Amino acid sequence: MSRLPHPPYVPKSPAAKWLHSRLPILGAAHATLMIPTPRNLNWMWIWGMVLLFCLLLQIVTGVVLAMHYTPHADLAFDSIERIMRDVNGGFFLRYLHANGASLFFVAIYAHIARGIYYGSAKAPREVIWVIGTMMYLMLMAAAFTGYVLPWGQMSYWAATVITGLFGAIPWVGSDLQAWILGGPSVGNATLNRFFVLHFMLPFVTVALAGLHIWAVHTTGNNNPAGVEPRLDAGGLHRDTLPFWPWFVIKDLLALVVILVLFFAVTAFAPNALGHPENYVPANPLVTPGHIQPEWYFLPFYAILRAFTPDLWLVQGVEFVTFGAVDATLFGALAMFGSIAVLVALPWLDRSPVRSGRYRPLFRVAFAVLVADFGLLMWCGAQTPTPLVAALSLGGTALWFGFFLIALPLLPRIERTRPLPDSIEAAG
Amino acid sequence: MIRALAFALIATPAFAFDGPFDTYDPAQLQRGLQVYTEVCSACHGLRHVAIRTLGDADGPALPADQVRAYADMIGLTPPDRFPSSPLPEAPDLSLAAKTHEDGPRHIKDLLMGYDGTEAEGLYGNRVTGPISMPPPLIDGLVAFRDGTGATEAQMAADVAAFLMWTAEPKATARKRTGFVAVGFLTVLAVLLWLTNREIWRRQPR
Repeated sequence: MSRLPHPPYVPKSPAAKWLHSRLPILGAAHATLMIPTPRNLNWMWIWGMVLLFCLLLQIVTGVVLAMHYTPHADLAFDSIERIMRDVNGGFFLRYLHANGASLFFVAIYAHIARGIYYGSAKAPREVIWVIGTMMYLMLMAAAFTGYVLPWGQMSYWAATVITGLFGAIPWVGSDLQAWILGGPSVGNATLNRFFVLHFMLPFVTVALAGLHIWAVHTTGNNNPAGVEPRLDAGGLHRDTLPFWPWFVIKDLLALVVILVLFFAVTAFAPNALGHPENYVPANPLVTPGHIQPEWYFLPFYAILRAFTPDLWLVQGVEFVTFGAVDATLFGALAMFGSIAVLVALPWLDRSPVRSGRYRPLFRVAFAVLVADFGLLMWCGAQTPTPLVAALSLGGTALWFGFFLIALPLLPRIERTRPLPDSIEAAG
Repeated sequence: MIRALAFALIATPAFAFDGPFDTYDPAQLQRGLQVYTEVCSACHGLRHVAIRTLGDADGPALPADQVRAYADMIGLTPPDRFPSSPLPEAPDLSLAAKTHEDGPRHIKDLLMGYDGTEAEGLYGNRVTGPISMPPPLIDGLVAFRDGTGATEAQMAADVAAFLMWTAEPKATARKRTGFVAVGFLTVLAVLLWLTNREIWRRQPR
């Protein structure tokens, strides 16, 4: 299964032999645990384990919450208050689930940033990357549908604003929007289908995670040096260690340290990352003063709002398309495009050198990208003013500039530093 | 968001229940209940709150006979929930303290923020702007059973604390669980750190 040779599984007990000759599942588990793993993996390689934990945490807490939750517009808000007050441990389960979403995004943003910086998406790991971005899309869809379920004011209006984007699509928009919502506006049908999707998507993600890990075990891990382990027996031995126990224990150590912080936030400041307005029951007749998504969507929300109707670019496109593409649609296209360029990363980055360690110009561009993500996140949380709109537009330009200009063109001008001969030599 | 997080984790609490180590003061919650019952409940409901929870040790901690007496007084039984708002346009107060960042402080400031002006049936308020609720508190409006002086500030603070409890009745249990979890996980982290150090020291070269 793996490009990297490792000791074969030999069943010892009669029961193991019996099972192995019928279903080699123990062999698969053995191969997964014993895979040769680069010795030089640094602490940014722990996020996969954190993400796996998040997926399990959200499924376990979510299944229990679903046993007490009622997906009906008249009952949803009250059923969550019952969970908070009357279900044994319900208050902690719900706060774990709500803050678990935040931990999930912290981990996935760190995991993605590590992948970009160390060139983990490059050949032969493009499929790992694309499956990973699909899981990121699943996570966003699950987080968005999940945020609607408490049926508070922010739930309702976030659903209204985001599904409204589909209404901006020319010709088919309003029909499509009504089809998604199950009616002319966000209502009981919307809540019900969002609950079904929120329950279902994590299991799709489990399947994708299986494929993601399978693909990683086929190519082997990337590493901070970005050079492949040597394949001769002596070289492989000096460049790698089995995943178990070295990396399992290291990952678990990092996970538990992160969980100390996670449980402290969940127990002592459980609503710090949420929006107070969502403790007001959904009211279609009262629009909140300031509609704002959760923190993990803010950068993309800023890109969505960056294209105001007064921009000549927006007006030009609107004129050329006879009004089919207006500011809303333009913003929506930019928002989806900002994720599409992320999916296309393996084919946008033309440099043969993987690791940012040996790419001086790329390092600068990457630092700008990280700062830009922070800037856009800040912009997304502000009330729209001309300054915020200008900063959002600048931030959007930087985002697309990194993926569409810097990544393809940097290799032409960049003088990369010499690569180490092996992982062992990289230290 | 960051402000709220920083506040919750480090700032000096102005209310007795803000910090990780703090709990509700049952005496204050009982006074707040009295203010709610004698003043607020004329218009506002608490439809998410079960009357029996007035006996919770982490909450107002009323003795069982007083919980029954309270339920009798409003014509209900302890397992019932408080009535909804008698005045339909008055919002339910069960979760009022969680609908603003720094909710209890907001409630207290609002109750004490009336500037004495009145126009078109609205009452001027420094915190919210003109609102339809008339100033509900005046000094000495209730006679606290524990003998505390019923100043406007005292009543506002007590009812704000009470409403924080109605919004987050399990806060103390949550913090207690948090200490157990953080404690166990810290021990586990130390054990894993030692294990990790040992296995990496013994890696084959």
